[in-house]
Amino acid sequence: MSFDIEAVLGDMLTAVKDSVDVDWDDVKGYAKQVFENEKEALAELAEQRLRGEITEEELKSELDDEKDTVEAELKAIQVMTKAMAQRAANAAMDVLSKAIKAAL
Amino acid sequence: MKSHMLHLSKAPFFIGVMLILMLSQGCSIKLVADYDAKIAQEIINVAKQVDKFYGELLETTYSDRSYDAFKEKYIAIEVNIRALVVQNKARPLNDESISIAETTLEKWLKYKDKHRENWAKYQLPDGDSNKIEAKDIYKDTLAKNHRKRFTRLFIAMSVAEEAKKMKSEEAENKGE
Repeated sequence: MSFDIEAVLGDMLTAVKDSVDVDWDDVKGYAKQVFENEKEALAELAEQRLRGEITEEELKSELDDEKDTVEAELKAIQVMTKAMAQRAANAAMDVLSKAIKAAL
Repeated sequence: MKSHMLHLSKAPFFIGVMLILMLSQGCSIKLVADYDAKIAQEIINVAKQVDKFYGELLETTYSDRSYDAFKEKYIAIEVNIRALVVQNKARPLNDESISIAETTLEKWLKYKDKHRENWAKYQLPDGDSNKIEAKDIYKDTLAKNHRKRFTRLFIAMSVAEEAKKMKSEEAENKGE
């Protein structure tokens, strides 16, 4: 059996696309949630300060913690995208492996 | 000379065999740690414990919010968050999850220390300029902020762990 590199590369690309499509919705959904959470948290902090419920020092401390929280949430997105890349790369490798085996 | 040519002509064959062996042995690209169902469950358990802590604190009147009344719970939760840090550190390719757990621990310790510090200020004699009112020992507003913040941190921890599961499921489907 022959080994058609063009066809194999095309199949690998399709495998990558299919894999990324499946995971992308999860990443997008969580990223949207992170953005909404942050928007809501910052608005609440501003209102709390304006109502005098928290001091200037407390506001500063809360804003520092907000920054760290968003960073943690972005780290979770990093894991999701790494897992997505891993899944896509392995799907492509799987196509290549099958094509080589079939060509032998 | 002939044997040298023979040797060269076999090179693509050996490369091909090595590639096939690598692929057939499940040589896959690995960028994240394996999913750990035990840690995933532990994250949920600690998240519930923290949420319960704030629920109870918010149900307590200001003057009853002594640090001592919550000390044991603070320590129990601190131990459990530390355990999450350690369990995450024990796995390779897990830097992000370690960082999320460390941030969670850092915030827990910060709020715990602040509560202890404020309780000490509340106990100062009347007339002391550093004395604070009971309502400032642990303000409702801040307790609610912190409760929400921990929920977000535990969700981040959980989301990161579940993302690894997607990869493990794929491996299971392949029969690896």
